[in-house]
Amino acid sequence: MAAKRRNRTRTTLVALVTFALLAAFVVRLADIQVVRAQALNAEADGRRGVSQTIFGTRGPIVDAAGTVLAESVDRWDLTVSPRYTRDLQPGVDGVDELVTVGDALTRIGAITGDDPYDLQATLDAELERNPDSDYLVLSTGLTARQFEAIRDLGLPYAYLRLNPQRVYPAGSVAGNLVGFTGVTEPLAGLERSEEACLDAEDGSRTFDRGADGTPIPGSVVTTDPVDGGTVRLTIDADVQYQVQQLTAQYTAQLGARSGTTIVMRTDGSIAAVAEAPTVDPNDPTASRSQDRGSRAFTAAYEPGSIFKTFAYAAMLDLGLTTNDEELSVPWTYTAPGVRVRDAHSHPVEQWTSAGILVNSSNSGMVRLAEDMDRADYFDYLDRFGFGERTAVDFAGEQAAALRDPASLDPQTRLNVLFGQGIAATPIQVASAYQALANGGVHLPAHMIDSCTSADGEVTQPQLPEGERVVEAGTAEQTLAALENVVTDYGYDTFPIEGYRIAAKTGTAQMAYEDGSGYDPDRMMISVAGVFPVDDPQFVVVTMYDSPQTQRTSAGAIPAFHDMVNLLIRHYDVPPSTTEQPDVPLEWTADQQ
Amino acid sequence: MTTAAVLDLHAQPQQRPDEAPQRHLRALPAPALRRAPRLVHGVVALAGLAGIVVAQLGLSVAISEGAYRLSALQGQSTALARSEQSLAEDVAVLSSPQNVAVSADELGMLAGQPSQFLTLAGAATAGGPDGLHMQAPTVDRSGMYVPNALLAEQPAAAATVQDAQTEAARTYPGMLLPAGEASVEGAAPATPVTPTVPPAAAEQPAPGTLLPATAGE
Repeated sequence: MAAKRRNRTRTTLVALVTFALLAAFVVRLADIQVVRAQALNAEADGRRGVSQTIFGTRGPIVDAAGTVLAESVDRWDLTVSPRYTRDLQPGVDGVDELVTVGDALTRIGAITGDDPYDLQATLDAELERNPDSDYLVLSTGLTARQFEAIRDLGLPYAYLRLNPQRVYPAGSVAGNLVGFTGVTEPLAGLERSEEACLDAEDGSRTFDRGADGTPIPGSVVTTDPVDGGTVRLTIDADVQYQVQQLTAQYTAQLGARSGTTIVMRTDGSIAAVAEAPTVDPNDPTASRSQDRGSRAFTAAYEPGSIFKTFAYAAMLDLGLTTNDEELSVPWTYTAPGVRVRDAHSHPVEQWTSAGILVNSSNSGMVRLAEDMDRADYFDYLDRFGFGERTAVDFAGEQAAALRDPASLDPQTRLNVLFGQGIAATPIQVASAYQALANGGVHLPAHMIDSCTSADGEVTQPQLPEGERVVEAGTAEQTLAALENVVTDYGYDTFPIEGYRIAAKTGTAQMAYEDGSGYDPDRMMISVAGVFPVDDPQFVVVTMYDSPQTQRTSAGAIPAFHDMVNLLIRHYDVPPSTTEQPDVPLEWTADQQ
Repeated sequence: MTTAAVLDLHAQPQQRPDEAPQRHLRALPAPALRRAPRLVHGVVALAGLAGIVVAQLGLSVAISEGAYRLSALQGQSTALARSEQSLAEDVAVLSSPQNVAVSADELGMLAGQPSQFLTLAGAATAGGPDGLHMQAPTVDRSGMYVPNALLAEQPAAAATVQDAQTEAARTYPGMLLPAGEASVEGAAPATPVTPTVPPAAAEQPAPGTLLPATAGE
């Protein structure tokens, strides 16, 4: 009987212990799996899980022929953990002999080009600030070769961090247009305005790693990065380089503050926009801030005589004059409250309308335009593209809005005929000459050919429709008159034998920044033209601000000649096959 | 109890008159002595188990070996991509217009003659354009007109530019200097790598002197 009872007690005890154990396990299970699950998972991931950013590559910017103007490359930043810096012992750290921190910094300096003493000072300063510091950037922008050299030093306290950067292999070629990027974001030019196409999406890669860092099979989860698209420009890098070189040479030769040259094709696409001084986007801080953009788009000015072309075309188109209308032109024009003078005094000349344009007579232009309604004139200017930003929509581009023609004072009503009291950007001027080169049809100026996304999808920018400004005959007549500027203006540096070139010179007065009148010491000399006239292909505008050695438009004439010359050479433009039409510039009473 | 025995139980007992009544109770037959398991079975079982373990081990070794191989190959691919990229960078800089121009200059090359054009109508050829008016060299005392900071990393091109600068800055007696540079002696050229201040610049130019446009900064 006693044995039986003892037996039952033992059974109960065992059962109790079993249940207690079970309960303990259940509680522990719930604790681990439910209560602390998140924290434990995180800890586990932290111990063996690794998350890496896979950088998407920002898209390149290429010229019309595919020459790379901007691209992204891998660069590395060298970071160290200051509190773990120590001398490496042979036998312990896998080095053959003692490598002190100083030795290591000397070797780093030899690779990166930094002064080892500077590196040491940076390191000491950081340790002084915080003895437990675990992070210090010693050097940035290391190339692949430098990366490998530093990695081969085998410093346990150094870490190389990938930091893709932007490089511009062609340097300052089109640097004014391409722009540049800052540390995290694009700052200027097309880098900024084409961000939507160029920008890349970063991906990520997470995996569990073994003790030696090898990913454990099956644990790798990858989100692929999306590379940025390729922006193709209408710019021709070779032409851009040569035009830039010439612009810089002439700017230096003339002692000018700056020079700008635009080469545009007849379809409105821009082949080159050169500036001097300009920016090398690899090193934007080497240029003054005002030289880092593109004056062709951002610097509106009063264009002066090269603007007469548009007033003249408008008058031809309105039927108010013809190339051979005969006038007697004194050098001044006076009416109540207004006074207009030519650049130089001259006796009363018997010029035709074309002669007035060729000799750039202000008083003649005013006489010709006596019957022109300024509202009509401003309609023409509007259709030529003045008063609004071009379709390029360059970062910081000016619109230079047209004023209401009804609100002009009597003097300005006359001045707008020869490009004073009216502002325009150089690109607007080039774009307006394009209309004359294209048989009177103005096509939107553009610089972006296409955007090709990483998966090969090509999108072309939406451009506004072209618009007829003047009749084809008017454009032809205007160019015929302008051909005489090249041949009969009195400069043998102007024409190129065998080629029909139409151009207009201008010496514009520059207003003071505060708008208090014209600066007598500041002139903008310029030449704008179209060639070859029998089959127009290019528009060239070249201008120099405040030249010192030659202060009239004659200074810009050799520059224009050379620009046209290099385009003919570069594109093998054949000589004109037709003769220049005979447009009388003067008349004599005897002939009648 | 065997099946036969069970059937026996269910069968109606019948008394056979001519047979002596059988005894209902019998002793169970002695169970046959259980034979010891044969060694071969144990060996087969254990060998099978070992085989499975080894196969499992081999499989995971093979998989992780693959992972190591993959990791190594990926490392190699990254390293190759790096060197491909740095070589491509070199090519891009070397093919930049600046480098081509400087190298061509260094080799003594001149711009080619413009194309000649044949007219189908007549037998004459029409010449291309005349020469450029600008005769200045591509590199002058202040460096390239169209600079490229990346070119400084190319030793050959950088040396050429520096030579050309030194040449351009060399003065001779009676030479016209740009306004603002008073001294002829020791006017060291600025180098692109480490710009040195020419001794002449230490002297303040007289007030009102026109500085050369390129020295604006």
